[in-house]
Amino acid sequence: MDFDLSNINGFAEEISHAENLDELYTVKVKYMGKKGLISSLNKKMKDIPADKRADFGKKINEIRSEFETLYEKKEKILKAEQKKIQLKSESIDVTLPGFPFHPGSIHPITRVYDEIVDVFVSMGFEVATGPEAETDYYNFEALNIPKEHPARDMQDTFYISEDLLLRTHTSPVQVRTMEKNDPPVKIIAPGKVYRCDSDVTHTPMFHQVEGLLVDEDVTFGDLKGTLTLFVKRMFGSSVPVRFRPSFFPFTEPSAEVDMGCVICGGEGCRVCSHTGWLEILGCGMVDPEVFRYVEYDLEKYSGYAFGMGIERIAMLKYGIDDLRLFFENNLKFLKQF
Amino acid sequence: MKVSLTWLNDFVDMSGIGVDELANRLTMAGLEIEGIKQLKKAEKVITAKIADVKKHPDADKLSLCKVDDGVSTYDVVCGADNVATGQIIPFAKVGAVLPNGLKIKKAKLRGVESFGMICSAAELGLEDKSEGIMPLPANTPVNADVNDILGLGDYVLDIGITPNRADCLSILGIAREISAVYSRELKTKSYDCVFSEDFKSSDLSYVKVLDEENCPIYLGRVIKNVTIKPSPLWLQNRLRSVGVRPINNIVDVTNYVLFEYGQPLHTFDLKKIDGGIVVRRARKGEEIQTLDGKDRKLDEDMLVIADETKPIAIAGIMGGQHSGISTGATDVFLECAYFKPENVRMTARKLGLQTDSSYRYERGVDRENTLNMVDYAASLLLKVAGGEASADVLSNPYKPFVPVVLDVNVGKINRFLGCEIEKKEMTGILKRLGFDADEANSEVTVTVPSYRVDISRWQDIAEEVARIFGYDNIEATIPKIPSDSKPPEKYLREVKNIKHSLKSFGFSEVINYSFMSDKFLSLFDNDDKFVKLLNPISEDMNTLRTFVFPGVISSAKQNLNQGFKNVKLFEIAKTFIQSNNSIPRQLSNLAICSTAGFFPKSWNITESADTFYHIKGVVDNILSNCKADVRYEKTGNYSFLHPGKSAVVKINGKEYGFLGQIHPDILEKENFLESVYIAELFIEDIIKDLFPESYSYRRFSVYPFVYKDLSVIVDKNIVAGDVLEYIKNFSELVYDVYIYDLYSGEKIGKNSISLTFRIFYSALDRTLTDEEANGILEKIISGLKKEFSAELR
Repeated sequence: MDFDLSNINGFAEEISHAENLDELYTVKVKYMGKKGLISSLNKKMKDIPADKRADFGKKINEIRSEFETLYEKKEKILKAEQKKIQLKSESIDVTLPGFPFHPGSIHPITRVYDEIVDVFVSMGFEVATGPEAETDYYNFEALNIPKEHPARDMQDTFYISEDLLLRTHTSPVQVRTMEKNDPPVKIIAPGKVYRCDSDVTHTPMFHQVEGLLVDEDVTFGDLKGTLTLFVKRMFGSSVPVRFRPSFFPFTEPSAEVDMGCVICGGEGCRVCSHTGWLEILGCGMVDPEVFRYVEYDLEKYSGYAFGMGIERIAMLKYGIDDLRLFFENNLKFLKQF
Repeated sequence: MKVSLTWLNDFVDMSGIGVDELANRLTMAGLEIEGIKQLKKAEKVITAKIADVKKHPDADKLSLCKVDDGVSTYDVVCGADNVATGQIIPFAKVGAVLPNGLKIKKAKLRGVESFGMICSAAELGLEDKSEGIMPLPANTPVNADVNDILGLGDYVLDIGITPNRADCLSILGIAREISAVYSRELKTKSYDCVFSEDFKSSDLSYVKVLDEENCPIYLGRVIKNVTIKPSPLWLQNRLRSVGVRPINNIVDVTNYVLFEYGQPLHTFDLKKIDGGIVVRRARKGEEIQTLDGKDRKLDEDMLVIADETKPIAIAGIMGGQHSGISTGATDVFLECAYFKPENVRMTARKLGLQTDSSYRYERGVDRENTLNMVDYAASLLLKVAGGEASADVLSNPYKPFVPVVLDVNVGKINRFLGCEIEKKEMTGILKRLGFDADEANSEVTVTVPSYRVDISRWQDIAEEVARIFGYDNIEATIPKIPSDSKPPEKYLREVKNIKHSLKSFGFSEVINYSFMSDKFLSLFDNDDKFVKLLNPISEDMNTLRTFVFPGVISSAKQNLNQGFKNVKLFEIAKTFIQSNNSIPRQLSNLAICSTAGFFPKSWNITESADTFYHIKGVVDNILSNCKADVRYEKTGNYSFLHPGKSAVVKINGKEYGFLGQIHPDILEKENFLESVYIAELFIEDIIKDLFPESYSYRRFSVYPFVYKDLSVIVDKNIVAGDVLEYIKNFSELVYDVYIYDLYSGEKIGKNSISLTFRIFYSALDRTLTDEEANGILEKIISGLKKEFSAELR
């Protein structure tokens, strides 16, 4: 006999008509539930003649499997639709501002300071520091600047007592380092320095980086190479650099380092006093008197030293035209860095 | 230092040298050109004679002049007081153009027509400001071009001379440099010395030097019967070109020699010298009125030129009023000396008096040239003032000059500079600079000329060679830097990290001056710790800071006044504390500051705890690197902090800083617009003492955490930190704990507070079971009951 399966033929259509998961479950219960139309076919098995049972069983399995396939397919579609609706309902205004983690800022002096230090550290220099309130000996005497030396006119000094002062340069760090260590010495000394001077182009406190290399066979050519490399790292490899003779009591020979004006490209402008050049570093070969003070062997060693003002480099690098801005601490200025 | 090109031409042939090129080459030889100025030429300005002067009928201050140029006579209205009949004057005819570009036109002044203008020195570009017209010497030819008469068209270089180059403080010195740079011969100046045999200076005066140490050479010469009058034009023109105003022939000659050769001179009125010249130290209480009309108190360290009774000049600096040359003087005592630089400098500094003379003596004049100069100056005086000069020169018995002689090794200099300059080139450079260079041996024997007081070592010779050879011609090389470099120390590394963290937290870095007013600082600290400046720029900057935060809150205040809200600033800087050591104690502190409301008002922040906790969170974050327990203790030690909202930071029992709200009284007194919270951390000590040198790995549990929540009610006087610490240290299995809720209110009674903790457990060797976790929790609960009388909520 044939089996009457007409009452279960509608499931394909019912599955395809289900509009949501609930309706789909209802279809599942109707056919596949414990008392469902397909499940209940099993109970009919006993009514089937023995020789046809195998066929019947096979048929049921086919129906079951067809149902599952259609069901799973539909379920997947409906779930995806439902997720879509849910996500849509969760949507927010992404243009509203985020949590106010407003960033602060690093002072431009610190930025340039770190950059300068990084350049020299990468060349193999070590960073040395020392006190800002110094003795006359370390700031002047040991640097070949005795009491009545005209060079003291170059630096107006803040005094704390007859013998104590605010360092006018970071050179005392060089002396202190040489006192404690034999050559080779390869340091840079960054930090605050003070001069008793206050006007549009001078602040009573400013920042310097000085460097010192002492070893056998250090040459003036080496000094030129080191500082040329430095200037080009800071300001770009195309900027011209020149060295011209100058005077510092603690170096001989001495030089000023100029670079091509970054404002006008060397054409001449107000910033470079129409010379096309900007003075950015002072340097020279360490004066034998300085070596004498720290008891280095004059015959064996030579060395170079250099120094620069960080404010000046920051001004040129960032296009800042007023020195005093660095110390006014106005957030409208600071937040730009 | 100003030099004119025509004056330089007296000593070195300047032909064919362009002024811009000269400026560049001198700059590259170490004489930095700070300015180039041309004395601009005038057009159609001639010399003319004033034939007649009448008062203007309708103006008191104007005169009607008849000006005669030898060809015609012009009617000119003149406004100067000093116009007089018979004067030779520079006359700008109608159509003339002055150096400043002004065109002269026919004009009508108070109804009278004027055909031209009588010029002042300023109008011809010779002075910045002039009073009246510029009468020229009576023997000036009429109808001559003023460009020729006044030397217009000349270039003047302004040169920055470094303190070591005393030899360049003269026309001669600059000319010598030019001769070296351009390899041109240095010319010597010849002058006539026709001296009188009729009298001797030694009959009229004497020289006695009592302090040979400070006055090694003193020369004097008497010149009789001089006529004091304006200098001839050539002399005036030269002085004007270098920015010196002519005074009279005697003064002008001394200035001329000073600028030309760098040798300061002085002239005394012989009649005013009582007896003779005594060079000695000033006596206690002595005073002198100097030529500038000021009374100067002298002390026993100062060297003076005196006569038998009184000081008549401060040696090397300025003469006295009493013995100065006035119009009635006829006999002049001319001084030419060498004074020791240190003494002149010390005296000038003490008196606050710097002159062209002291400026040169301080740096060192050419001691070998004094005798030459006393002759040269005398010859000039005779030329421009007439009279007779004695043939003899008064002098102390001075020692002969011994030049510095150096043996210089060419190879050593080349190794030092990093170049290969040949021996011949080196000696050539030195010879052009006036050195003697004997190159017979492998070493060059260099004799340093007397005017190069800056040269005493072979390194100095190396510089001379290098700067004339050209620094630009030395090859730039990269040095071999020893490879054992140490990285920046821990403190510097960590400070950099901290700054960048603070930036992320919203803080902006400020930099304040290290000094502030003692008055402001004493709001926060005891003045017995203060380090004060002897010479502050102002009273607002007289004391070095002992804390960093006072500067930072000042910056905050300014920004509040600018309209900023939620101002967050920080600074890391040295503090200075008086100590018994030779130098003050100097350690860096970190100050952070936030005005009330750490975050700005924002739609996504619903409620906010007291700003104290934000600051504390930032401090916690910075201190999280410390491998030690950080404790916050309420303190009354800092009167400038809010007594209820302040704490000290203690680590291992030692104080490392403090934080809290600035006391409302101070904020009110200092007119702060909002309340301010600060933290000051002794960051240098913290990093050095407590930050690890580097990271080190510790084994951790691979098993997941188990966590339990616990709510307890405690008396509100119990501080949460103690409870937290108790739980944290309760068992090794407690990995972390935090307070995630806090409640106080009616439900639990007024005097109680409810704390809710979330406790994380972890074991190295296993996942903890729920039972184990609950077991520990039970023990914690009974512990809290015992320790804090806590009740389970």
